[in-house]
Amino acid sequence: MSSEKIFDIKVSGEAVKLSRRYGILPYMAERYLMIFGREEAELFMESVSKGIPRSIRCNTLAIKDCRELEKRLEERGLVLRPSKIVPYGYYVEHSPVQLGATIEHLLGYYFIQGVGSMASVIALSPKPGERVADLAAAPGGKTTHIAQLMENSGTVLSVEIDARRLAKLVSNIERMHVRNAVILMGDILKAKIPEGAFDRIMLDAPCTGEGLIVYKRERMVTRTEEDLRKMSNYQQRLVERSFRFLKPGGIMAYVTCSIAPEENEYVLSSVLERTEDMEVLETRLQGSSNTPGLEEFNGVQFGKEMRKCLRLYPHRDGTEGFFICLMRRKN
Amino acid sequence: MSDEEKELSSLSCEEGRVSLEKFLREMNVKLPRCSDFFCRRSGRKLWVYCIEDELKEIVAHLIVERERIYHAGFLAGYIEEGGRFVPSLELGWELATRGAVPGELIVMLNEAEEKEFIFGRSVPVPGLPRNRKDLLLVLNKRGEFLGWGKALRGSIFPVADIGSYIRSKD
Repeated sequence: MSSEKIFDIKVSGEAVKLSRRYGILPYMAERYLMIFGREEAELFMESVSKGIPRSIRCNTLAIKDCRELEKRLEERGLVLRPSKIVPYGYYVEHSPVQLGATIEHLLGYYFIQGVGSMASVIALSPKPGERVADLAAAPGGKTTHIAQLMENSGTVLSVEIDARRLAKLVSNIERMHVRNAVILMGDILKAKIPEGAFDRIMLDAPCTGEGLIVYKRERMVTRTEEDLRKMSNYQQRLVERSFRFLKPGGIMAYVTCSIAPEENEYVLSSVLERTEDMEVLETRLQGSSNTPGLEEFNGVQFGKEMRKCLRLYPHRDGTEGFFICLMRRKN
Repeated sequence: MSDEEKELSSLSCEEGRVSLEKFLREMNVKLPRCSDFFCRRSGRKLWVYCIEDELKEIVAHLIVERERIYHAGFLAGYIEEGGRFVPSLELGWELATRGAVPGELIVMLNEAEEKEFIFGRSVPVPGLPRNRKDLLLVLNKRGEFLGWGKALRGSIFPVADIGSYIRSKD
């Protein structure tokens, strides 16, 4: 696999037009044309321009019946729409109050979180009593969701390298009434995390955040191809290291809030090539469009295995752009 | 975390256990699900965490490896210099949801009072003893935990309130 070709984007006249129309960088527009084709690239950019509503996850560790939460929020004037992917997730179509300032939020009854992010935990599907690691964990949306699915039993090791983000992670874990987490401040490439010890691992890798352009307009013009290249190398090292923490038979979710093939299929297929005991699992979610991962991008072949991964898009799934892929460590 | 802090991180911290148990005894309550303790010193405070059996192994491993643990299990509270135990919001939530606290240690606020309290402001409460040494569990009319308070001059003063979750974030 050519390691450099994938980053060499030749911008066409059509991409320049698209970039001007929607205020994005030309190299991004060219890549959307490659991923979607002309017609769908327009649909994608239209949905990005419109944006998507904020969403919340009902926390059953704190409130047993999510209908009770629905009722209380609706009495405050919020208009909720249930997510098709996450049974206890809701889009907030309208809110007369700040979502972070309600008593229900302070009581830990809900977490403000994108549906794509929630979907990644559903895909990983942690079970009560298991030992799970959430690597790159702040601000804690996934750790608290993992604890929720584990019903506060077993162990969640939550790792964060950034001291400033750590305080937010701790605060959220306490607010959401998580009891089974251990928070470690450290670099997963160096920390002495026990190898071969975890049933499941969530690696929500640091990324360029290209999937979040539905929320963050500034992302449309702030990241270059060079950022993608640097991030991609780092992500490969993270995947290789994190995979060693799995027990044989254990499952890892590689997740990014990016739709960039350079940060997703390219990363995984590169690691897969040199990791004998790694296999890719079919990653599908009820209620989503189940868009498969890409087999090829910019003339670089990733292989059929990558079709087992899952892509989420605003125009197809109503979520932020997301990539989710499950891998198992062979016995 | 400094070297001093690392040395003081331990799985079984006797000082933490004794302080927490004394506090619970004074409130006349029991706390289940606290099979062991983890403590972390930060500045002048010793933070006390309750941990379940399932967490012991990973906590012990990380301590041996001198890794930086910032939280384990559930935070029960901290001990100030001088030995006073200050309960956490988590401990308050746990006690409130179990209905474990005697009625004389509970103050209930209506919706308007609740808003003041979670903004970290004192609230006049009719019928509240003028001065009382004990910490009081502050609940709303639904019985939901809002924080810890102290009675002073007929008002309830927040010692810790759940509004701090977003105030500290800022």
